[in-house]
Amino acid sequence: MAFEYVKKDTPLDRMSPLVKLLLMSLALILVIQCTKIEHISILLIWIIFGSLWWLVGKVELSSLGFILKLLSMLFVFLFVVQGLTYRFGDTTVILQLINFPFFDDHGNVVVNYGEVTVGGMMYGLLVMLRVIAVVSVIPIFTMTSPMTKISGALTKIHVPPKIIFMFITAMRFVPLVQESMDAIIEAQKTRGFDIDAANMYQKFRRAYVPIITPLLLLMFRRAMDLEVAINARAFGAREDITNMEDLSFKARDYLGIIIIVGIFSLMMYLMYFETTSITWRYLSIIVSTILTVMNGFIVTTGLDVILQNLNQFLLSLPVLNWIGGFLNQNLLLGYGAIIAALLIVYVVYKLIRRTTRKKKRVKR
Amino acid sequence: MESAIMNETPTVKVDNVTFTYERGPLALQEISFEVKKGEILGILGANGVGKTTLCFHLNGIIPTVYTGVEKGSISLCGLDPWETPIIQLASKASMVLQDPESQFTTTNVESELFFGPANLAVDRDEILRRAAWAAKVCGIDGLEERKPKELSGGQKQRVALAAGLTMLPEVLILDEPTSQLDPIGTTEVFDVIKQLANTENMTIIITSHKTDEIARLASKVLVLSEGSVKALGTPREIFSQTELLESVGVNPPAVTVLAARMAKKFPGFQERCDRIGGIPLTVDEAYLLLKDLLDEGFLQVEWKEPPAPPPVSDEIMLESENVTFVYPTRVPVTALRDVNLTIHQGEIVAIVGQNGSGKTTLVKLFLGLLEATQGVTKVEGEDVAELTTGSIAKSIALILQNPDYQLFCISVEKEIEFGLRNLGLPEDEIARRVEQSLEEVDLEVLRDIFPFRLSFGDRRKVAAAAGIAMDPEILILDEPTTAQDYRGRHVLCQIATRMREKGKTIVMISHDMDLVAQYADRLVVMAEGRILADGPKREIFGMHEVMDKAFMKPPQITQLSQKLESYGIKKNLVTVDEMFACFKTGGA
Ligand SMILES: Nc1ncnc2c1ncn2[C@@H]1O[C@H](COP(=O)(O)OP(=O)(O)OP(=O)(O)O)[C@@H](O)[C@H]1O
Ligand SMILES: [Mg+2]
Repeated sequence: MAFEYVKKDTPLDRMSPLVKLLLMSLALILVIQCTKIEHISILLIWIIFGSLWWLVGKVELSSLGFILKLLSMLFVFLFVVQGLTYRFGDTTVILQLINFPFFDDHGNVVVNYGEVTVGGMMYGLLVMLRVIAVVSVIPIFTMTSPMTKISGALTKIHVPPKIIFMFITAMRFVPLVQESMDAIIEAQKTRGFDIDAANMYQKFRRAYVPIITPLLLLMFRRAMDLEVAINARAFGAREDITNMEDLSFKARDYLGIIIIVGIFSLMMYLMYFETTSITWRYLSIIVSTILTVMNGFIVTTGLDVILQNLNQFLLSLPVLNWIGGFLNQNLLLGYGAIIAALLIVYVVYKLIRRTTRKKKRVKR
Repeated sequence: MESAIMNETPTVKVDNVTFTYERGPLALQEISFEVKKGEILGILGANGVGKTTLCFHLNGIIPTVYTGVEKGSISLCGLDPWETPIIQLASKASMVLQDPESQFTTTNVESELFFGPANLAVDRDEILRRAAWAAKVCGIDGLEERKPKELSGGQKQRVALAAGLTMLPEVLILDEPTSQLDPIGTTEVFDVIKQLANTENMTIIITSHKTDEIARLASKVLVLSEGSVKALGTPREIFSQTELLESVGVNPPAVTVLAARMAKKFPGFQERCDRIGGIPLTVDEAYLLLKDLLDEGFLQVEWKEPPAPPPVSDEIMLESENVTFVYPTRVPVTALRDVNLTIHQGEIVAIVGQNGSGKTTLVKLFLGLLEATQGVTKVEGEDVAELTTGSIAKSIALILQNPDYQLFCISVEKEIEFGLRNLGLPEDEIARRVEQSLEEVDLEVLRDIFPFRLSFGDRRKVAAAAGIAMDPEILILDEPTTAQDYRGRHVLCQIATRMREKGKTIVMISHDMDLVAQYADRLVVMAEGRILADGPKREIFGMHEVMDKAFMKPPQITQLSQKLESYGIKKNLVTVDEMFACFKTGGA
């Protein structure tokens, strides 16, 4: 399951959880301050730095599977909403989804909330990066620190036992919910209830009731039991609990703190004292260079003509011309039909995957 | 000198305690007992009589976690649980709970063993020593890195127990600590408990349905019925009252029941029991008594052939061919190795074997919940890999150990309908089947009640009814005995037997040898993912080597019949009835 500790012999594994806790809190502090579009560049640097931690700690991206799925849905939503509503920065329109204009007293269009603008997309990107910047450091903490070490470290810095208690319960409860849910799904399957075979609509309409209801009832009782179990094991009986792991600060812990604080200070410097927004300028230069090079490549090879012809051809197809025509707006540079075609291919591919995967047959 | 004085004051003293749960029922009524240092108190009673509530009183869970109205007084190591904070009590008394699922407080086995003693600030080296010792005596060494979900049911329970042991408390409270353990594992655990009481002077309070083990080592036995004390005394005093015990839903050890029945039939038998110090509780005691009586000619063996198992049809219902299964965890676990098994229509097959031997895994393969890594599993001749789990459910019903994993409807009736609707049956057929299955489990009067309001035993019956209503050809029971009292286990097995009479096939997994011996025809013995032996139960019980290797122990009656072979008990007998029928008054 996501976020669970997996024993791996890495420097990060051996590092004190307090150092990782520091990283998490600094990530939070940084993100709170990143509110302008120019801060995208700062967030990007922070995220690159974060992924280096992942490499050092050998944390696999795949272990986040479920969370990633959830996040990607959130991101699409963010892009659309921000794109449609944010009205600062670059107001170039990418796509007009619908016509939803607001007029001032003189009958001039002030703002059209049916349009996705570049500025809006950028803001969507900013929000997305803020989420990623925090979420990407959480596994560094949870997946590389055994719980005994975390609670030991928290005790050491005199966090009240009540809070540690809550922490232990939470850490144990997430996998417990998962285990119980798996058991319930299995139990309902043996009663002819096949959630894997149901489609999205069926799933939402009725499928989750037989799983969520017992889960809630069960978890309520399990929570009580867990409290009993933790109490029965003398949690909080002594202030000076034995630490099974060595929690003293080592050279690598100090090194970790220096790196973390160093990078964080650099970010703060760039954000507040670097008036020229140098990182933002570099980012813009990099992005525009890439775009010009690509454009130049397309033009010199004559690819643009071919693409345009293809687009024209697609537009002449009956259904595609309607969708393609719609997407064929400003910033999509007249390649709307190609994009529409790719979208359709993707959806069809997904559908085929769905039906072929369900190769199992019904008995008799 | 000093210790003699210490022994005078009881470690645990419960005086006239009456307790009612907040907004709940009267759970305990005028309970009084004492336990001295180094004693083992066994608490017996049917489901729902207040055993767990009583345990909760002793280590402060009541009133800290659950509250209610209490009368009377309790003292534990001189402390009053209603006055002392729970954390202070917890360092004196530790408790192992009934349900191993929710007892894991950390995320892997090793840290689980450390958690308790670390909280008590025990020395680090000492903790390591204790953890190694506890893992060894509970048979979980080698599993230190596993997460809870990567353990079998019995392994989880062993971890819970080991975690309780590492605390080495003054008072150890165990609430059904061996309900999912294999027979040898159970015996080993009870031996360790005995040893702790003797050498460490630990006071132990234990609830269990395994009366043969309690009889073997408890210093005192307390029988609860509906919240009040029915009997309190030494094991021999208690177990000789077989009728009283059976009336409160506790089954005495099988040899004791046998002796009690013989005492009724043969005048003078009781006096002979009294002469050796009372009614026999263990196989050895029973053997010595019967041997003397047979040698003297007081009794005589008249061999009565036990009933032969019903003939088996040729039709194959379940089949596995060279099945291997590996759990794809970080360190892959091979749970089944090259398993070949065929189960015919109309059989009652019991799958037995040590904890973690792959029994549950095998069943999950048949149900299509897991897919074989290698080999083929077939249900009614069709390859499981090609079937949807939904359609397998038409052929196989699984009755789970824990009914709460599946109950969710607002009434018992709706609960049974759920599966039938999944099968897409017409309304009138659904109504007919609901009616029939309610009748089968005897729950007609409770049809409109919300299942969660029912008692545990009744909830299981609802789950069973839901399974039966699907009209499956095959019924699988995974550990029908766990957390069930003596009556509950028999109710489920009797339902299964009735299903067999209608031509259905029954597969049961169980560690309860008495139950297996009584109801199954054929035993499949598993160890370490392999099938060690497979055959008629009487033959299997005779294979000592296989039994030992699979951590099995034949039922008491079978052990006794093996000892009495030279007196004319020709085959392995399995039930008290069979054995009883073989004796008559001897000589003149
Ligand atoms: N989800 C899982 N992931 C990894 N290993 C598992 C998993 N479930 C079970 N195992 C392991 O597979 C082996 C077989 O487990 P299984 O549950 O089939 O045993 P069992 O015979 O039913 O035992 P018990 O008598 O304790 O119920 C055990 O070693 C167990 O630890
Ligand atoms: Mg099992």
